[in-house]
Amino acid sequence: MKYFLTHMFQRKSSMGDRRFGLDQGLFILSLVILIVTVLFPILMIVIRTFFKGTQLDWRLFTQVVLAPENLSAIINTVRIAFMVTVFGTLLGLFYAWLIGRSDIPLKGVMKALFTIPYMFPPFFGAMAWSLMLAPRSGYVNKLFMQITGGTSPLLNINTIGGIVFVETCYYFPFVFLQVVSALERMDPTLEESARIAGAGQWYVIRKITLPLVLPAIAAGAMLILISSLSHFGVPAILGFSNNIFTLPTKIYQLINRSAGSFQGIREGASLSILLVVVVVAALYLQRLVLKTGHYDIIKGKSMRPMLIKLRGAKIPMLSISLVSLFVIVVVPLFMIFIVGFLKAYGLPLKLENLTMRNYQYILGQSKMVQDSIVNSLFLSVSSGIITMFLGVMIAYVVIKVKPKGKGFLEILSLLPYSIPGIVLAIGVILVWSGAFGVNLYNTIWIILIAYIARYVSFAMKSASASLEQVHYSLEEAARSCGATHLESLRDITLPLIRPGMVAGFFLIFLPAMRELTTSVLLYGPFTRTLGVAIYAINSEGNTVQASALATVAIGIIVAGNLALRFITKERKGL
Amino acid sequence: MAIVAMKDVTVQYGKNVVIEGLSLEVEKGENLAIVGPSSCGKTTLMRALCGFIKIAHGEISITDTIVSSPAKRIMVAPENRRIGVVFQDYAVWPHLTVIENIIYPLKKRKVNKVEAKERAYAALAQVKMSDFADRLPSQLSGGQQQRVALARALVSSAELIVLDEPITNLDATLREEMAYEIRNLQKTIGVTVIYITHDQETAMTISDRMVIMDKVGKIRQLGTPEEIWTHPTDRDVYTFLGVSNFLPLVRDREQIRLVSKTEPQTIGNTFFDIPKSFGSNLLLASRPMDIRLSPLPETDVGVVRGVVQRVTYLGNQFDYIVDIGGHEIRVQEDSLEAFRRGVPEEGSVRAVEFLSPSLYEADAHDSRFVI
Repeated sequence: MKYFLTHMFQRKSSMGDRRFGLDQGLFILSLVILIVTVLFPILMIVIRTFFKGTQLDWRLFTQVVLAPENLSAIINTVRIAFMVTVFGTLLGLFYAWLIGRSDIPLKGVMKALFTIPYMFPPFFGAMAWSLMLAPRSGYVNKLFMQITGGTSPLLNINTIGGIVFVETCYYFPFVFLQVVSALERMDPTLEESARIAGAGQWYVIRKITLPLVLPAIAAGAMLILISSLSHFGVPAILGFSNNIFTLPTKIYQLINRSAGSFQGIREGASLSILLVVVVVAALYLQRLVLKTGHYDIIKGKSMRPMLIKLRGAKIPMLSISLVSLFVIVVVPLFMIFIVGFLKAYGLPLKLENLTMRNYQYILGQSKMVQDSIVNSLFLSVSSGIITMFLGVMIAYVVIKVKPKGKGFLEILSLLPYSIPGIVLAIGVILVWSGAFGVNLYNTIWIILIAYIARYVSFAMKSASASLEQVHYSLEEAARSCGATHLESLRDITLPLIRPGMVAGFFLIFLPAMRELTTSVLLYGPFTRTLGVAIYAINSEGNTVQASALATVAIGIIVAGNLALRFITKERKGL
Repeated sequence: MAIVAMKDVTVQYGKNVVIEGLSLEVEKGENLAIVGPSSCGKTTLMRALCGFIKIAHGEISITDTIVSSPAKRIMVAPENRRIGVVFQDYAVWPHLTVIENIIYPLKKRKVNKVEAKERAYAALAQVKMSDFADRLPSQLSGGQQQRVALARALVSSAELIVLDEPITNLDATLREEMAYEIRNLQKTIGVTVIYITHDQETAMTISDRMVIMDKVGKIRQLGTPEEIWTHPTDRDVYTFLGVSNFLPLVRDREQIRLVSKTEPQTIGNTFFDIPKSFGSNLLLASRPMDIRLSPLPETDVGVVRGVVQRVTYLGNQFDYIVDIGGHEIRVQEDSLEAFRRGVPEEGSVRAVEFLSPSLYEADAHDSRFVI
């Protein structure tokens, strides 16, 4: 690192540089912050796993990896992720084709429905489906047993299949959105000329459309794969009771069971490395796939494609889509909403069984819940603001200053994107619980640091997008008008990207508000977050209260999304 | 007095040398056009002058103050150079209104508010944009945005303004109008203007002096538009200025012969005062408008003969392609003149007369000399 920095300065002084002083300061500040928040935790995981004191020691790692229960967790993780990816991709493709290329009606309604899974954390879905399909207590299963008079449930959600189903419901929009946007940007004449040349409809889809959107499919599928590999909430809620573990839930269990002892954290760190290896392998796979298919014929501007007439299939297709979307999106939300008003879980869903008591309890009496709401609001707002400014600074350095070493900075800032939240949490514990003289364990600050590290990639991407719109001559014009570098940033660049910054803030605020994976390892007695509180209440069996609190969270998230939409709409005026 | 002096300036990006050893002086109050093909380093030169990039070698001074000099470790920041700049993409700030855009430099130079407002409105009036003071740039056309950028540059500096390809994005009529207005403003205000463009026609119409740069960032010629048009220093400058014909000639003692693929032709050498240093291979350069076709005279000794290959009527002029001994040249003639003198028919043989041609020494391997 030292060599790297001196090297950079040498180059600066020997050669033409566009900006002076301030830029180097920003570069170094970004670098230092990223090294401390992102690189240190990851390095610490590696060090703690492979070193005992200062000595290289593989035993812990091999011991942890070869433990039978951990092996089965690895197998489960890969199996679930693989199945979720396959089903999610197929589902996403199907809807993408229907909306992008067919003349199916109600496209607007369907598109709006698709954005809903995006807004809510998948573990809400797991809770909702558990309410319906838990083997004995689920409402749907109970109804089924009543009708058939038997004792075997219709479906058991507490299985690998159940986990795959719920994750698929939440992750298929990744492929859907990627492919729809690729289809919209694709030059329709490519398909039309094949039709004119005499190719049939199905042939065109197979030989022209599909290969052209392959990169988009691959990108979306990889997003699903990585998200599922590192996912905690759904397997935690559906798997624990049936002893089904994945790597993230196993890591959580290891650390939770050891009650924060050092040995437990070390074991968790070893498993984390395994998880990272799996994710990196998936990313590598993505790079291979994307490399083979790069087409420039997909252009930036959108064109009106030729729509395929569904004719007789129109009504059946529409019913299938609407029913499936209804089941995937609306039913779970409704279940959580209605159960939140029940006097007790298990009572029939009748009007006389409804009550406001759950809300009174969680919002009025439970200190823990009130704390969690305050904590989550504090964490989301502060991490949103801090991370957004950090993202702007890094993006500014990468895009406008372009120092030698910007590649390193970029990689550092995008690294958290591929590091599972639970792994990041362990790294943060290792760094900030006294190893370097600062002990933040059990305080809210350690969660804040983890959030910043986790969301810096979002902020950086969003800020890059807006900064790239600001041509360098706008800043230079200010300089030649007599503004110093700092003044040109303050008067010109920042005001121009302000709408992007506000949108970036919400892109962090919203996921932070419902965050579970990282906070579940980092919370202390007084620093529960909203996600942790819902998860904890639900695990304790207080299903109705958990549902009520989840409904509150849904309300906050919806309000935030509406605000975001309003702001991004305003932006067009600029 | 020179307001800008560049001495032996070298600019490089990494190992890539964009400008090497360039020296140039800009006189106070003049309008200097820097002309050259795309990516020849014109914009780099402007950016070095404004202080957006460091120079690797040499020295730049503005009104006798050194602003860039790596040897003396001087690098004056852009904001302290007091140069008004009009950028290629105008760089009018989209979040500020027109008048806010123009007041900004005055605010930065700590001019008091009342005076700043007065001066900004005055500048706006100079570019005839008074009615648009409270508009946002997104509500203006390209030409209007450019006027705003010009007004902002004018209030930013009353001494020196640099315009980087300012009117290339405008359509032809607007371009002509703008060029005329820039010229007019410069004459009335007396500000020094450095005008960077790849469009030699506009440069000719508005500049006092022109600098012709070549592809590798070297100055090929410096002079008034008339000097450059009538005496381009070399073939590249000649070609750069417009459509040109080059005919290969060979000097044979006192005679000059046209290198011909069909029949040897001798042409009258009365115009030429051939420098002694020139070798025997020469190129005769001429513009399409400076060539006259006439019916063959009785005695055709010393007359260049050409066969008219194609006649195209362009409305205001006729465009001919004429074959002279296997070399095709383009000739243009004013329509009225052509009708008066008789439009030549395709296939007819004409006497070709070159009015004020230029003569250049040819390379030894010029393919035109291969018969």
